[in-house]
Amino acid sequence: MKPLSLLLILTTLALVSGCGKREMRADAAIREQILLFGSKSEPQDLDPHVVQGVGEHNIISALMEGLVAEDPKTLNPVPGLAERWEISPDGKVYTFHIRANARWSNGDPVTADDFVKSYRRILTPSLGSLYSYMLHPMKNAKAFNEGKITDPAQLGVKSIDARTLELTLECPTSYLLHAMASHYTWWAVHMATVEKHGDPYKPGNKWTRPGSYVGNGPFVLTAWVPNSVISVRRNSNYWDAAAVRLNGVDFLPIESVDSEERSFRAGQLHRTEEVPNGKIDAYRKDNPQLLRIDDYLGNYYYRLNMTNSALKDKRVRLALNQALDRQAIVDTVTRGGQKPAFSFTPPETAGYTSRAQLKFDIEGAKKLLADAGHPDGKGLPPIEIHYNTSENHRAIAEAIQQMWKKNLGVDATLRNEEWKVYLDTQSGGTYMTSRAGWIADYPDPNAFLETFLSYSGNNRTGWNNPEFDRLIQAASCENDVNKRHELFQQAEALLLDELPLIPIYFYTRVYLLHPAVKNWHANYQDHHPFKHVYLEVPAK
Amino acid sequence: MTQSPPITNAATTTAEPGASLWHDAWLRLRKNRLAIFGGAALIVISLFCLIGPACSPYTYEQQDFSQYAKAPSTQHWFGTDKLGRDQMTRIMHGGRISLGVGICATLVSLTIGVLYGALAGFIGGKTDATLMRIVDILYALPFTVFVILLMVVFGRNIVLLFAAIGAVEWLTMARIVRGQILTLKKQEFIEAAIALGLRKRRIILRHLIPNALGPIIVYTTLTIPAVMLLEAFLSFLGLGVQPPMSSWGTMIKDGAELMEEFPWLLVIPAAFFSLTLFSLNFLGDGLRDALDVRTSKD
Amino acid sequence: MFRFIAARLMQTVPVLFVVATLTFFMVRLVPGGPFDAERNVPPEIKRELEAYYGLDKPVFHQYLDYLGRLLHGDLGPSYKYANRSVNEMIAATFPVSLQLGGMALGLALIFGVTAGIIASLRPNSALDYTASSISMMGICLPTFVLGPLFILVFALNLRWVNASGWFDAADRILPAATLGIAYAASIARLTRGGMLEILNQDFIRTARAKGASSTRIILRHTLRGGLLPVVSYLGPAAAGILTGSFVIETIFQIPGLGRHFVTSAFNRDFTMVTGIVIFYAVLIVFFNLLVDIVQIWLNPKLKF
Repeated sequence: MKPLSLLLILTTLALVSGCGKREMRADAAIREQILLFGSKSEPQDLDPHVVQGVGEHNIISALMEGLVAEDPKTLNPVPGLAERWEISPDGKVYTFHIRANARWSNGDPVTADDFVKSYRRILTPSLGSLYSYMLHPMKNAKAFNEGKITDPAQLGVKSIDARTLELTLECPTSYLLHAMASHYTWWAVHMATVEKHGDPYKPGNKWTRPGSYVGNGPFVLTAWVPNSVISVRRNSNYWDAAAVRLNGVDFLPIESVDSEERSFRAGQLHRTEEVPNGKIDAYRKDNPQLLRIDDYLGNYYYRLNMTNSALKDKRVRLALNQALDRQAIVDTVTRGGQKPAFSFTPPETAGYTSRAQLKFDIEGAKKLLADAGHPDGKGLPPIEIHYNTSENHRAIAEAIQQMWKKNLGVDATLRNEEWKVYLDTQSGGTYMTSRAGWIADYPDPNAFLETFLSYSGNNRTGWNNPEFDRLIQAASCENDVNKRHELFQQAEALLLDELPLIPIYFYTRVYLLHPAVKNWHANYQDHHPFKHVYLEVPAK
Repeated sequence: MTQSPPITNAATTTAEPGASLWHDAWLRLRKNRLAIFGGAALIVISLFCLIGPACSPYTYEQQDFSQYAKAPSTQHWFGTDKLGRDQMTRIMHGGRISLGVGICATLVSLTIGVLYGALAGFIGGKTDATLMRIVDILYALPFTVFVILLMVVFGRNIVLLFAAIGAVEWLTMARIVRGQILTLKKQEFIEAAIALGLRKRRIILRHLIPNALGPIIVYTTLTIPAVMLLEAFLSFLGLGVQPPMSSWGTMIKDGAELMEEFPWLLVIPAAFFSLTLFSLNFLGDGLRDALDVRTSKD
Repeated sequence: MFRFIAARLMQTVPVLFVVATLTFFMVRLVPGGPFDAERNVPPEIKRELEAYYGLDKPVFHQYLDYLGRLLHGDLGPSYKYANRSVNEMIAATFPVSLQLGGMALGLALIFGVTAGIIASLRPNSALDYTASSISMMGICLPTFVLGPLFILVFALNLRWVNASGWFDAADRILPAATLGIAYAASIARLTRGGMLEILNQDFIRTARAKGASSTRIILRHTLRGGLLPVVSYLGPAAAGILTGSFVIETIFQIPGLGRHFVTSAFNRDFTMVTGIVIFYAVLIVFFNLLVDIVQIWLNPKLKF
């Protein structure tokens, strides 16, 4: 009883003494127009051509901007460093016109050549860019990136003049502008600066330190204390500096979700990355104005190992799927407003909703299992659920284990592994079913479905369907939206019929936001361009 | 400063000195009420964990989503967890694991640590230096990496759990014992025993270790909670208790972050943990006093 | 004494060599590499990265390269944090842990030793039980319970200090107290046990019987022997406490070495892990040497 009674005594003391005069950092920061942003992990780097992460995205998007930017509400492409662009009728050639007043933070003008050099840099194999494949829609980009051609002049990017850039693509790519707006791989770096601090075509370049960093976004990097804080402040050379209302952002990489929530309550943050699962209800009840739950473009699913003898039978896979009460999982276990997933691509992804839908049907599941020769789970080996250690993944796995047991009579065992071991097991295919999550890089069904291409490194289930591959490839070169969606419909129907995965729920972003933060709009990629955001003391 | 030999008759007794030592100790222990209370509490907790599940209407894995994190009630005396499972049943099962690990792994580390430390301290010189430098090396090696590696090589099993815990927990014990032995060795009664030509094994086991028992027992009572909590960390790495089962360590760890919303998920496992530790400590102190021949003169 | 220290310093070289070697191979044998990620990294890119960091060479070759650089004090680049070196990260994070650990160790020694002595003076008295129970509570409340509890009370309810971070002087209080209490509890138990051992010896009883005041007895005769177990315990404990506690640094969001080390192990940042382990080994050896010197000083019968 010690902790509780101690807590009670001390809480009473606190209430009696009526403390709390100290001004909170968050309140002072509102006056200073400094946004305090919980950013989860220490960034790997701040070089847009090197990193591969969501946390990095948030920081880099304060320091850099693309030719195209995002509308803060809809995330639709709006003019960024380029004031306008043209697209050729066949959808393969994009011409961008860069603003006359677009400048780097050191005062240099932003030129078309900066982009040509940047795209060559990120695609150069020796840089080892983890995310360079985002540029593969560009003509010859894949071949160059894989070292099959070595002449950068063959890449589909060239400068027509100092302010005009022409991009040539392999195929018409309907999501290209979205990707260019939202994804840092498409943004430029100041090559002269990069060259000054090391080999621009090798990892480990030190140009990204405060004082050295040259960007073209609304803010400049002023401080970077590893594992503690990254500060950015207003960039007076930004082309739209007058529109920027924040004076800066402090990114605080707080790894522990519990510590982050406490920091928010102690008035040290305006925005958290997450909310501890056990605290969502309390916020919903007592402080709904602080809790944000936004739909998010991602799917939480279980991979099924197609090479496993027990799971080879499609009826077993379907039975396991149909026995899951997804609604109960999101209502009781995850509790963050997630939506049960009966398809892989979330509904309304760039106007696409899968026609094929899975179902929850215990009787049907039992029958399937009996047809497969395992009435009430007899003769079926225990299904092993593999997941990386985390309280949430464990709780979901425990719930699913019970559902399979109760609804089908199927036994399941749980196997948790530390993150990198888990990845190794998954890519080695030495699992039976394995938890997975997929967050789309751009809003398009392709971002989801292409992961199940037989040659995709993200497939990892051993599922291999030539018809599916053909449909996805055909869709990627289809310029007509309706025809393209139809191809995706067929592909997704095939995927859900064969079922090398069990979709469980569509992600939401659950986080805390200080009421003073304005111009912050819910959207499916959790992008909130900092140039629009500002802070305002809430009316009492 | 002269120190008289602590166990005066030790060097000369020949007929089973151990039996009477333990018998005397038991007589003295019986008089120590706190120690007896500690021992009784331990027995009650152990019985609760061993027999309890058979009497409980629930199983540790049975979920009831309508009972999401309910406070203690007549239906669920210790409340339920976030999957609607009966916490009392989970405490019983968790106790089996925690007590089992706590006792077994501590015994492992105790045996290795005491023998190793005593040997290093008694032999001294180059052997001591080598043995203690090995301890330094083991201290420095990254434990997380070591455990993952062990699991890769041997798979996950319970023996490995003890090996992993034993591998780290004996190091400090060895250092403490060595420190004590180095001092004891210079005392007259040991020097006399050496001069009498007693076998080394006998000197270490019969004379040196019994005289270092105080710090050994104290450190053992510190090792048990450390081991129980280490088990929770190991289950993070995939070794140790596997869900849906849980141990007191993992329950406290999970409960720690829910202390505001669902305090019973922390307080109850923590209470069992604390009660066990207090009991062990009372018993340990009592044992220490009982085994210390010098106190008998009071 | 000089010879003793010199000999011990000589022994450091093989210790560090063995630690470096074992760690070097251990981290490479563990599944998962630094460049594995949930999003698949194309094999061509992975090959380039491995080539850049020399990971494509035979392991033994990598090992020789590593030892070569180690001789020059270069612990290599971080594989995870692309623009940082291991030396730089240790230099950035160790002072933080050192400061936190130093404060905690000071607290732990002052309170632990005092409580232990008080408890041992009147064994099995009310005073003993009070002191012992308080220190037992420190043991029963692990840091991952005590830390959040302190934050709840002092940061969230009383609003005296921040809940996390390492910016103001006040940010040091809670983490140092949490870490200190954990060690104070153990030190108190060990002190009490050690003191009782000595207090029960005949020469002390004789002195007491002759009417010597108890304070003088303690100071003159018992502390030296009674502190022995604490001193043995302190060697590795001090090295551990000063290089940072992962739990404390995570709960309080402190940019110290302890958290960074564990994160690096999870990231499979090979050079970072090996580098920090070597650094840690140096501290272990140093503190254990210090402890051995103190042990000899406490016990004049031992010779250097």
